[in-house]
Amino acid sequence: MSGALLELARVSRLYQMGSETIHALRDVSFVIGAGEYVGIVGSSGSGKSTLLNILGCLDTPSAGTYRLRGRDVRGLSDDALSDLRNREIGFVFQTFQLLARTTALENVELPLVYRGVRAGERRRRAREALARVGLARRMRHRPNELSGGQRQRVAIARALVTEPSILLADEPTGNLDSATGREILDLFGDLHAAGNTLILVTHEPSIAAQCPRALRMSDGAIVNDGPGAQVVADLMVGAAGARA
Amino acid sequence: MILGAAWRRGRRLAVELAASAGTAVRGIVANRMRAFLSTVGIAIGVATLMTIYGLVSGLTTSFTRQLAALGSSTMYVTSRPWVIRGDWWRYRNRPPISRDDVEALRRRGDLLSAVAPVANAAAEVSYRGERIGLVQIQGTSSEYIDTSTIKLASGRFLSSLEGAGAQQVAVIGSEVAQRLFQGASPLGARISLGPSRFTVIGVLVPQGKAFGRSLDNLVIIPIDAFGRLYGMRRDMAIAVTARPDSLFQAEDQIIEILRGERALAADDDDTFSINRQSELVKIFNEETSALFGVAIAIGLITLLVGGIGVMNIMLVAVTERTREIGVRRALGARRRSILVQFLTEAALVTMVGGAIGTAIGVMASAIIDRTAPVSAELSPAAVIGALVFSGIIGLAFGTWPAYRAAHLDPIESLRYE
Repeated sequence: MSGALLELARVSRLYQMGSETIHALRDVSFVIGAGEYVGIVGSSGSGKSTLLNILGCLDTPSAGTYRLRGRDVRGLSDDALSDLRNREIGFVFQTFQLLARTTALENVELPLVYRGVRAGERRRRAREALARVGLARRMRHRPNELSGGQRQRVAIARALVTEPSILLADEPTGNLDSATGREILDLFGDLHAAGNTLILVTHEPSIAAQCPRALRMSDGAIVNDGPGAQVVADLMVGAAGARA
Repeated sequence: MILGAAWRRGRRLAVELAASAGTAVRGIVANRMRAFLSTVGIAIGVATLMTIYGLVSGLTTSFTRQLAALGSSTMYVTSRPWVIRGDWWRYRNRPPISRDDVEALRRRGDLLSAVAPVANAAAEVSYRGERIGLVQIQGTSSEYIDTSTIKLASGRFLSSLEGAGAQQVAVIGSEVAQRLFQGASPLGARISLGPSRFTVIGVLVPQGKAFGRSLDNLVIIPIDAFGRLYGMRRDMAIAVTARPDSLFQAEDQIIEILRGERALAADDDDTFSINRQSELVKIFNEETSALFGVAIAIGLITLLVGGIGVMNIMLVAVTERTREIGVRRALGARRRSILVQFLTEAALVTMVGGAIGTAIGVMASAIIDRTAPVSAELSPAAVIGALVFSGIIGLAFGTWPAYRAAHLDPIESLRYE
């Protein structure tokens, strides 16, 4: 399929726990095109973290193929996967994962270090990225001098600074109050409008409902794929049906 | 294209190294107490090694200077060897070197280019109320100048007539000249040695210090004048010079002449010893290398213990910063990048320790040099060497923690609490 940014075909991920084999992912197949904004929703243990790790090239499938911009990641060396993460993926984590001792600016610069960008150029690009998330005035602050929402903005700037193909957010509002979470989601909306590809992993149906497209996971498999509002509505009906 | 790729790789490594150094400095500053404590072992080890090194080079310089005055092709005939190894009692009944021994060598030693008696005493020297205590007084003859490396700054040495007789003339060392005459020319002045007065006929070029003692606090007078003042010494020696290419034949000749002179039977042992500068150097090196070998081993063991301390603290740092490692890996750090980061940090910590140890070593050497009779000196190369060496220790002991850090699983690291 042309225009596919990432493409999963019958992807499975197995873990060996003692004598037991756990199917974290079973035959997962889907395609995400450039510029899409996709929510992946599911309860804990549904396999969304495993899927996220595979999409983010932190992990590779046990079976099936994952193509990122047409390139099969299977068999890539650790170095090649590291470089792929650096170039193609921008991670946003639930707990922000900023380096404590360094300023916002230096945190945002970090991925560029691993691309061999010189200090002056790093600084310039990091400033631009921080300006994009509305933190132009907080560049010299350290994470402990910033609010939760500001920290997450720094993390988003860090994800954007390499101009990755995909922004991969794992419960980005999980550690924020609802008003601040709202602001972060608005920022994601703006980034989507500006042409970025976003994948947002969440366990909250209300967040998935705002995504133009949502995938619902259960027991390591994709059980629904459609417009966010539709997928969440189906989920509610299913839950109601189960109660009835 | 290959060149371009190599250049990009090199630039990336340079960028990572610079960033790692920044991170390491911040880490050390943030945990300065811990960094300091972890590197104390390195500091002590480096300080020990630096001080030992200072002492070795100080002693070697002293020794070389002292020996330089002896001349490398000069042999010293003494009743007992300079360095007695084994049974001292064997040498106890040897007769002292006599003027007859000197005369015999001078008359019959056709391979010997210069023969001079040498006797030493320590006495007070004065000139017009200016006094110097414990000056080395050397009684010898005119030929001494050819057996030694001493040089005249002004005036002349003893003439053969003065050397053979008991004329009241003296050649003085530069320190004696400076302290008695304060820059004025001593030539022709009459200095006092006990009850006698000696006319200064020459001043020597400075020779420097050895073992904390000046080699220029010296007065040379004719051997007979010396004998009248201080008596003939049991420890008199004969300085003998031969052409460098016939040293061994000359030594045989000395043995033959002295055995004849002393009427030794064929199965008697020699009752004298022939000493050479080169033997002293050999003995010095043997004795000191054993001593310093032990001291250096202690220093190295301290460094080993210090290195293990640094390794331990680096393992703690890796555990503490597991999440940071996970984040860096997620952002695209290769294993090598993490390895470089922790190696840089370990090397920097040990280099801080090395710098502290070097400072202590330099101070200790300076204190020893000032207060003890031995000298200690440290070259800039030794200081740089110590810093580089401590960095290498950091790399060596940081390798295992850095390897562990680099091989952490990124997914688990990110989840680490």
